[in-house]
Amino acid sequence: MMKSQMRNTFLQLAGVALLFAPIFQAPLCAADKGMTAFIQQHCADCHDADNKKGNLDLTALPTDFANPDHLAKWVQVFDRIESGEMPPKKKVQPTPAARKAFLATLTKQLTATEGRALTADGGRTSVRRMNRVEYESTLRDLLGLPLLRVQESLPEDGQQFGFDKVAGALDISHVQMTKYLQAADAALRQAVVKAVARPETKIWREPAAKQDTMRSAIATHNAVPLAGRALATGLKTHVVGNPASDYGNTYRGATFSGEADSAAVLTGVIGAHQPEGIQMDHFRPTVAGWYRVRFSIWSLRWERTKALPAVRGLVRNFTAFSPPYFKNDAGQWEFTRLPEPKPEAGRMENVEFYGATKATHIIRASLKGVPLGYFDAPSFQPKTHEFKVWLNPGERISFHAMTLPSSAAHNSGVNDGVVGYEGPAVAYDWFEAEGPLVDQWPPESQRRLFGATPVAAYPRPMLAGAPTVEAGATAKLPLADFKGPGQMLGEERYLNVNGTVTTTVNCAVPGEYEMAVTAFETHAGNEAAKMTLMVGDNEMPHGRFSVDALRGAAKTFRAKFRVESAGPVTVGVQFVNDFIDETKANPFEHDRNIYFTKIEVTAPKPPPADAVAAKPADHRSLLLGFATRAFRRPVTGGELAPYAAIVAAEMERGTKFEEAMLAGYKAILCSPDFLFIGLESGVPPRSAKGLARLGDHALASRLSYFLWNSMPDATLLDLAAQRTLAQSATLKAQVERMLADPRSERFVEHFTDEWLELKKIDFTTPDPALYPEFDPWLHDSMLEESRATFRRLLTQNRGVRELISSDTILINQRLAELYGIRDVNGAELREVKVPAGSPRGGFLTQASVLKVTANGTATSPVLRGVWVMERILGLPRQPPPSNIPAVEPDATGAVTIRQMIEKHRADAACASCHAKMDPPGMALESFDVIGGYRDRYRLAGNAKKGEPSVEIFGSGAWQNRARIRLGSDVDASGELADGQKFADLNGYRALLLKDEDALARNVARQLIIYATGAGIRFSDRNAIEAIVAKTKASQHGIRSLVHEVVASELFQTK
Amino acid sequence: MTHIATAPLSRRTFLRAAGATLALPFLDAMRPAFGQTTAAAPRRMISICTNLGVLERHFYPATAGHDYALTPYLETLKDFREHFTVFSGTSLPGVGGGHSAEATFLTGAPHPGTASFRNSISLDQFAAEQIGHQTRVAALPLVVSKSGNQSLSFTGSGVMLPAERSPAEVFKALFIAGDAASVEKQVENLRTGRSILDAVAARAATLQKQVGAADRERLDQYFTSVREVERRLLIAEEWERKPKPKVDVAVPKDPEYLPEKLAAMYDLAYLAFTTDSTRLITLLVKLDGFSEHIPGVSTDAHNLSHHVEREDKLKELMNLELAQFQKLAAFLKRLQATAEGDANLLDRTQVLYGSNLGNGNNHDNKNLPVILAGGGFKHGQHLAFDKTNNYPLSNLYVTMLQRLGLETGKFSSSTGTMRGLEMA
Repeated sequence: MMKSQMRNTFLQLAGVALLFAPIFQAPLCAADKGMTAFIQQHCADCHDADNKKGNLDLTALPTDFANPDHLAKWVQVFDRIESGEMPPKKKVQPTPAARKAFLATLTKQLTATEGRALTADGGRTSVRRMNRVEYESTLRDLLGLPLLRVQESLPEDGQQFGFDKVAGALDISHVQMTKYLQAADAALRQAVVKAVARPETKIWREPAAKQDTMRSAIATHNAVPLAGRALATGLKTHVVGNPASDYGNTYRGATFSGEADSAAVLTGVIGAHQPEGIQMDHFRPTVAGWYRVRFSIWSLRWERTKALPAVRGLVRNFTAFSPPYFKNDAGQWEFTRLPEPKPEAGRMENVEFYGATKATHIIRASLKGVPLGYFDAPSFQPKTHEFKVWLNPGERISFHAMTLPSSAAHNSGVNDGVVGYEGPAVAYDWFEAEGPLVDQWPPESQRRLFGATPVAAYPRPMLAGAPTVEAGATAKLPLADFKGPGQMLGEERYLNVNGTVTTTVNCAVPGEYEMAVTAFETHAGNEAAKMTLMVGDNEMPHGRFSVDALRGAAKTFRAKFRVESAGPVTVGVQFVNDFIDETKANPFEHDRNIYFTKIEVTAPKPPPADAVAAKPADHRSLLLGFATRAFRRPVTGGELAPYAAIVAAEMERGTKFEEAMLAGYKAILCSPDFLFIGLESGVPPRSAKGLARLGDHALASRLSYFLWNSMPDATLLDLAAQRTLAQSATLKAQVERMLADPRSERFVEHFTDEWLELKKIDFTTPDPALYPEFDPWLHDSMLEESRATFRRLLTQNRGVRELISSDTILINQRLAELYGIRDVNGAELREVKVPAGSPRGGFLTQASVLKVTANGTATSPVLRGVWVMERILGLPRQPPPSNIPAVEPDATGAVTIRQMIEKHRADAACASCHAKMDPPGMALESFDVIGGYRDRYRLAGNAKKGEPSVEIFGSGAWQNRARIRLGSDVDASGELADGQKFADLNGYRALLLKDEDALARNVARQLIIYATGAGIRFSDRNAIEAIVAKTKASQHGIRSLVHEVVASELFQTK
Repeated sequence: MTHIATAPLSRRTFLRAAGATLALPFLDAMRPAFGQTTAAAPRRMISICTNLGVLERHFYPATAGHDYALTPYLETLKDFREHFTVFSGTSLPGVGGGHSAEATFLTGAPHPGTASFRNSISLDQFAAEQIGHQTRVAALPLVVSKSGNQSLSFTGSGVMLPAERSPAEVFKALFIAGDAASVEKQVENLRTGRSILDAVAARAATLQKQVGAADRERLDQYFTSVREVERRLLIAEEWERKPKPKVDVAVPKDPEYLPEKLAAMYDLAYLAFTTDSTRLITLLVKLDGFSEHIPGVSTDAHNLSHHVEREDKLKELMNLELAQFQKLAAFLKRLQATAEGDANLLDRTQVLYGSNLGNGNNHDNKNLPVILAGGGFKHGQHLAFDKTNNYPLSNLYVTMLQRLGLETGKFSSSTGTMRGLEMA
């Protein structure tokens, strides 16, 4: 590019600057001339208007940094030049001094621009609404409803910088607002108890064999009744249908009429008609609440009529660290040998159960398909398990054996069924349920809204103008006040058509009232006038009367009614059998009407002074308490006024106290002070320096939404009120306390969901034809492993290198099978030493991570590479240029992914990014879509004769075995952009571990984005580096990183 | 032929029920079945975007004008040949960013996916601001997806309006009526809701005055949403008292896979139109992750869209796209078979079908595949524009708005109305 052209561009830019002076910052000054010269000398050869390499024309890139697009581009330029990536090695390099000067100038420009934006916004973050995860846990804590589910009723949240916590992505539409109204209503209603009295806690216990689902399993030959360790007497099996004439439609059924100690289930799925599995179905909760469930289970091997000790094993008999296939001496692929099938005819053998250790089958308990837990059933050792669960009326818990085959005893008409069957089984002894467990009444959720007083006891405002009946007194209700049909006639009120006359009376105390109606009728037809005394819309008990009294002999009719809380009550009289006798001319015999001469209401005596409970709080003090917690800060009377006004208006309209309060609470839950995080300390003062420190209450919320995903508790709010929270010793102690609190599990879960993208675990389902061994237990175990690993890093403050590599891993039996590690029995995760030679350890080789970075059929090194870059190295990806075809793996095996990628990278436009993205992905090629180790690819389609294939055994409960075609060998080698080579994942891992600072830097960045809800700006980099430096002594322990993040200026300022 | 309704209603009944503030929905039932109509029939619009492109080779006719030869995809629509126009060489000016352009298919906002991007109002919402009050639901954003509520609809401040993905839920909201008591209760709730919103809006207004720029933007969104909900609750209160339309259809089940999901959404759109529950629908077909239940398809749709010219993939992709066109054809057929006054529903319903990607294989946002069916235009042609210098698709949007009866000469990046497309 010519010099004159260059000047021209800048001249044009200057022109623009004049036109748009307010947004165009700092026209080029002296320092910029230096930049111009540098760019011209070192960059413009490629990045000019003619060449535009990498789609970048630096000579035309505007320097109005205030435009976020341009700012981002210049930051990219900075990074490339700083890292030495640019100018490329083969080109003339700038002197270190020139490079430094250029970077310094650019730094100054970028920092200045960001500083100006900072001043305008009052800080790098902005207030943001809660995301739906935070919303749910906040309501749980606020209302005392630990299992409240409202998340699904809110729209999915947007995401920025990889997290759903960033202000810019958390928009509010009217749809969102409407959903907030609905969700708040639903949540509040769940918090209010419907039961009047404290429910009784009961214990239910029954033998498993008595349950309907178990009896049905026995009837279909999916289970056998046991007496001790032998078949219980009383089992009759019979053939249904006629095998001779209708072979296809006959089957063997069973009836059991004896006594059984337990029942052994032989299959994972109890037939298509019983997807609910085994249930404790004779137990039906009638009251919602917590229940303690206990049950006893053990494993065995069923041998026709008796139980033998279970033999270990699932399906897979693996060679170490690889799937159950190997190359034989002839170099062919073979599955690990299975024993010869036993010769007995008609018997269906399930592949099972090798290995030396004690067998343990696994039972899953679930509620409406949601797993509650996985439980061990040791061989011949009945084990009692216990868990606590919230059950709604009628809900039933299901039990499934995860390690049994999907079909067992063959029960066709010509078969013996269970008594001819040999195979693995799980015995259930009994089930027990205790509940509802009530530790206080009214329950906590009710207390949060209405205190300890029953809702009914709250007084309601008296109705102005209505008569009041005081305790122990009788009030005469003015007849003229009665509204409804009919009218006054002299001193009497008469009712000449069917309908209800009503009036309102203020009842001064709660209790039992009496209404006395003195009335007579004008008689017509063959019955007396009938009336019903009403309270509200309801009849009073024993309130129906025949008014068998005529003028001059009026009678008094009395009925009682209950008033739950002092306040206005509407009472009335209903006339139900109006009648006109057209045959009678005499007007006194013609029309049946009711005349009232007097209506009185008598109030109960005042309760004795000592029986009067402490005066319940009024609506204002209840609201104040609630708002203070919901707004996470002190609330002034003036602020409360609009909410109190809503409640008052509702009550004036006659709404019940409870309903009126709920309207007020709902308003609080829809207010910006509740929904927006960052308003807790009022509007932060604008500071000339830009960075305004958070107020104490805002700091408390930032802390609690960071580590608990929810509102601060009383301790944090107290510290905020005392203005001591911001002291560094206090903060440190609080972080320790918060991480030790069970609420921190929300941080572990949500942070890993977002950071490691574990929330994508269900985006794709592994193709059952390719991965028959994938099952729900594996799915759940994967997530558990990753969360437990992060939890361990946090509690034990393990160094950042353990993200990549570690000596021990946390696995259970199912993961051990997948990872090819022996001698791990049971559903619980436990610490296991990584065997020598195994590639496991660290997040990169966890099944969950390997699954979320793949689709259901194939892996893409590009996608996995991008994941490693963004999640582990913290390098944002550049969007692919348009008009470039993407690289997608080919499940048919026609072209290897490596060939495709190499072709792709031959294109210079792709190469610069792919040189960074692809290598980590290539290293992870040794792992399939469910995280299993592989040295050959699995391919779709049936293997032709002579083609390599492998037999995979579906995880018992869900799939059977399948033969799968194998493709080419996996090559996990690669080369980093800077030329360093690696042979496999271990090699790549070693390269990653060379720069622990980079790993720590990434964790610090991710934590800061997560905790503050804003991206990392160019000018935040020094603060990040400081965190990295301060954690160096602990090898960048993860808990140290959390502490330093909290201690940092980025965290403590707006 | 199906007639929308049979028993004529008196206009007065409606007037009384609706109250003076509301304009009248023009149901066929209000008109004598075979007489002259006293007022214009309602005009409707459904905008459908399939998010991974449409294979150009099976879509665009080779020649422009009326006598083009049908391509494999257009073959599925051959019964309606005279009732749709196919466009080529159009796109939304300034819109790039590959998949990010899903958000701008109906807004035309430039540069999605960049740091400075801000979305703008979508076609349906623009129309809803003027005609939305005439129906129970102003506009109905729908989505067919594996997960999430992504939507084609955006408010004036560029906030996405989450789309409904459960046909059953929408059906219940539109057609399942409560009893009188629950209606009154609902009205009461709506009133309470309004007083709640009043209180919180006042609070937000106070805050807005005090905060800095970035915070103000967040609170503005909140404030606007609150006011919008209030306005809607007011309208909803009127609608709540009106009987919900009765339909002779069971509550649909929420299906799991693409073909069934598409069919359910089209059924729902049909019901919503015939009952005049709404006149504006958007439907985002987010294909990612689908492969099940589609004849001749076994690979994930996103993977297929990057076909890298491989024959087996192209074949599967064609099957995937044909399956979608067949569902569209079935929908058009139902509209056409439904009489409304002296015309049929298709003549009064603009059906826009297209994609934000011109080429799914390489993320190109130029040369968008677009069809406009029905709505009362002189159709039957292929309007071909320059493939290098695309014609603004936003011009079509202006034409569509005008066809709805809106007096507007501009929408988003438009430069006029769609050249060559005339009203019938």
